[in-house]
Amino acid sequence: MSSVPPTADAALTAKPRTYGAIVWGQLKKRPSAMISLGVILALALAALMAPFIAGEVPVRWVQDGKASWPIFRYLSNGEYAAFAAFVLGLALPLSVRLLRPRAERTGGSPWGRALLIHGAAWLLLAGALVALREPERRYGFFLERRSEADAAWFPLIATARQPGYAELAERDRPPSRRHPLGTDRLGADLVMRLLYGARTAMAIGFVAVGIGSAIGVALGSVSGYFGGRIDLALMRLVEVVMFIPQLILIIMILAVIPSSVPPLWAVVGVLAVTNWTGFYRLMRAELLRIRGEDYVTAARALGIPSWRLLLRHAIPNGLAPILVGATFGIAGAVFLEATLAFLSLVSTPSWGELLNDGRQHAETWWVWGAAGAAIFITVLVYNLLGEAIRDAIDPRLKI
Amino acid sequence: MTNDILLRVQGLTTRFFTDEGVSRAVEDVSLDIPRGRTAALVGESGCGKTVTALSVLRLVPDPPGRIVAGAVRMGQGDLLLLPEADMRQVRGNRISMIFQEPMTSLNPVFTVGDQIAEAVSLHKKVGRAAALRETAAMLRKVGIPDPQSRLREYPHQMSGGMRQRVMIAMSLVCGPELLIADEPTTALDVTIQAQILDLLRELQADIGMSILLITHDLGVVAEIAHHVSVMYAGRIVEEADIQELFDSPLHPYTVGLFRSRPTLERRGALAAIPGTVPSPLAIPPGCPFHPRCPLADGKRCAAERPPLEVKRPGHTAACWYADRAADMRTRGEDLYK
Repeated sequence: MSSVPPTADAALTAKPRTYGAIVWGQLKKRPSAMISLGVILALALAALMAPFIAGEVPVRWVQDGKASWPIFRYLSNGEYAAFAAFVLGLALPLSVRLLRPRAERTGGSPWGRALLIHGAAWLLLAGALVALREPERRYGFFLERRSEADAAWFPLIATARQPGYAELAERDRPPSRRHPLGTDRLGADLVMRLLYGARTAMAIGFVAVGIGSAIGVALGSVSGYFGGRIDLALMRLVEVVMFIPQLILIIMILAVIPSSVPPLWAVVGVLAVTNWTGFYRLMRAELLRIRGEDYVTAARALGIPSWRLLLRHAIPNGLAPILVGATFGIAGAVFLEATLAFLSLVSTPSWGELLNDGRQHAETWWVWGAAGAAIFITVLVYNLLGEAIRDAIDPRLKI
Repeated sequence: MTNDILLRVQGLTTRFFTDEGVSRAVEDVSLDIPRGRTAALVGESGCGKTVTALSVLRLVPDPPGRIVAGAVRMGQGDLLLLPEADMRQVRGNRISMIFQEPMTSLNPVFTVGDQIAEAVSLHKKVGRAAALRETAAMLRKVGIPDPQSRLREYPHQMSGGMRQRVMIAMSLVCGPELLIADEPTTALDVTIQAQILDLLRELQADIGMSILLITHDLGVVAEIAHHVSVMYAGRIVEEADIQELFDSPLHPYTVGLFRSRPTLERRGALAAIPGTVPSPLAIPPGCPFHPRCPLADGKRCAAERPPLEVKRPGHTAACWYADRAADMRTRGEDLYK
């Protein structure tokens, strides 16, 4: 019906690119970001596959002509869940891409359906694990009876998971073919200790920062968007939390946590409840800015209710700095976890614990060297990645 | 006669209570918006036009702003007295608004289809697929080619003119009775401006809505308005039909506004009204225009505020010497020389 000629800018808009695609394009231009991402993925994969890389439970065991696959009985439910998280996490972008044509026909978003399918997969898996599995827990079994087997596929580094008397002969060995990074005071292989320490570091980093940023985003957005008394009250709470030095606060909380709580989850919980203040302040500042943006006024002029406006319009626009904060936050959490373990405040298998072991015996340089290098490299790559993301989302640096 | 009035603003007063003092952005503004016609609100930047519009929709940021007096009558009720939940049903549905800056008025993280469809499904209570169908139809109506694929684009992939069309589509998709257009063409270049104005006029003929056009651009007013109100320092100083106002402005401020338009005959520097717009924190006593006015007598003008009175049939002005301005105009003299 319109007599107005169409504006000729079809060339400008040939292919829709989402914000995520633009940021990814910027990230790809930086070698340091790509290397860091690679190191992080490799570290995550190594932590995930730890029982296959160093340990005592064979993948395949043939005795009296009968073959079995013992490692799958020995993996814990948590390990299966972590495998699933890794696989499903990598499959998510793929399934979104597969669902997109269908979603575009019906005019929906591919994400909703993909998340639904993945959620269902998770529920099925969790149900199956709880209902069907009771993992075996007898260690020091396969290595001793190695000679009885006709054939056995051990992990790359066959070493006892719980060092016993048998391994004491192997203690304080410098790097060799059998132990590529050497052994510690009890004869435990250092590769294995690093791998299990990496698990702690990864879990702490992702979970603590995930919980902390979720709390920070929720409270910060409410505070910044609605302002007034809620903001005043939350701001005072944050000031109180920030007023106490973090390490002292953590030590206080660890002192009152009952011993029935697994140490790993105690640390995760403690870091989560002390780490959210930074995310809170970032999100609050973002929302103070977004609150005055024209598109928020325009959305209100369309009659969109406050909560919907906050959740659908305001928060997604303020998440970019949170992503940067989270990346730096993971580095900080890894470091803090190492500090706590170094001070022997928690008893998780940790790089910090390893560093403390090595500190007492300066001559076993491979012990403290490996632990220090692991901490250093992990913190470094997360910081490099965070910096790259920060630059990539900076609108002034685009094009 | 009253049946033809869609929206009646009466004595609207909006103030901002800031640390520097009380900013009197809108003082005692009354406006009638006729059904199916275009009313224009004209004035310099900072005279309170936009705050008037935001007050009608109750979108004035509070704090610091507050509507302290007045009524906005639409049908039987007063919009200012509605509960917030009912007011949300009015916004975007019966009254909608388009903004000056199409570049920043669309949410960058959603596709334009999602943004428009959200308003549709909110007000018409229809599913997503149906909402997207209506969205595509509306985009076609505002002259966007290939709406099915444009739906899936993000605002940053569109030009300014396109985005303003999207904004218009978004505000009209629920078929409002009143469209408030706040400087809809200011951020666009001239050829696109003409297209957007044509579009608004066509859509008005098509849908039959009223338009409250807010602008400082007299060219735009001449193009599409039926009725004009001139605002100065938070008050309406003159009101008339478009023809009457352009033929014989009565208020010295309106005369000055017309005089400062660029013309093809006059060369050299543009004519300006001397002085500056007063700050809404310190509006002069008496007639707010008297410090800049060539007709000001220095006594009455500085002490008593002239009321908005009918000076001729269908033509009101707030000036003690409106007749003098009219006389000088008929003699062909320049008020500002």
